[in-house]
Amino acid sequence: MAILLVLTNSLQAAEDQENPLVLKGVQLTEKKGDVKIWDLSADSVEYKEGNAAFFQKPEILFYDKSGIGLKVEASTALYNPDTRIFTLSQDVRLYSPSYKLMVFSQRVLFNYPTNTIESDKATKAVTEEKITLTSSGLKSDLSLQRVDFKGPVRVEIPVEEK
Amino acid sequence: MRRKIAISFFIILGLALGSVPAEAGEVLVITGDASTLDYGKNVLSVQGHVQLAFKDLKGSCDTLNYLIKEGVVELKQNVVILRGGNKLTGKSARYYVKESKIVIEDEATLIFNPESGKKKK
Repeated sequence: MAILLVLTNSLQAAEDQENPLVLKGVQLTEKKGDVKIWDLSADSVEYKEGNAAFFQKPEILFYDKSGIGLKVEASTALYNPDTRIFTLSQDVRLYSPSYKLMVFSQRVLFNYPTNTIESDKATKAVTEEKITLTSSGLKSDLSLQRVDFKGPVRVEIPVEEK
Repeated sequence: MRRKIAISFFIILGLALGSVPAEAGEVLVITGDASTLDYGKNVLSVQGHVQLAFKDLKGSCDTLNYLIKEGVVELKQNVVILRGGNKLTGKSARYYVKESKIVIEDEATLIFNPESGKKKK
């Protein structure tokens, strides 16, 4: 059974009815038993109609057996509780500490039920070896171990002098 | 037999294409229809209408695998490599990027200066 912990620095009731609740300096954590699944911190979260949550400046840490499996940053994120999909928008950055892989995009979907990451926007990936890969979208597992890039794709591999 | 062919064509290719040592800051560019980065296998693969360019060398094939740790490019199916008017074709090839070595592994054909029509097989 998952437990969601919510910490917040302040809480205010918004004046208009469509945004009845705004939490600032929010921190969320999901745990299964004693095992932490993810941490989310954000400048603020607004709860919209249907309990959809809109985050400003979210940073999410996904945990696996090795520790932090994936670090995610974006300007905004929308969580739909019905589909359990996070939609991250604007200056989205994914980083896998295990593979030292950075991925940049303007929109990324976290499909929580299927444990997949998807993007239908232009993406750029940079590996530890400084290989850059640009594409028109991607699909991946949550750890970025295997990433499928949608075409057209362009790969640039720096060649070092031997 | 195939090994002999591969070695022969490697020598011929070396003569035809010349030695092209890599220099710092140079970039191998690969384009294609789709790509997969698989850290389980340490392979970056590109599929469909694959084109590659490195300095004055150009190539194309159906599927390409870049072995990340080894720095080796594997070209598969309908391989064509062009440089300086010379054309090399084959079923598969390995391109050792740092050493600038190419080995054609199957059904290799080398055409010197296609304009002149000379062909060796």
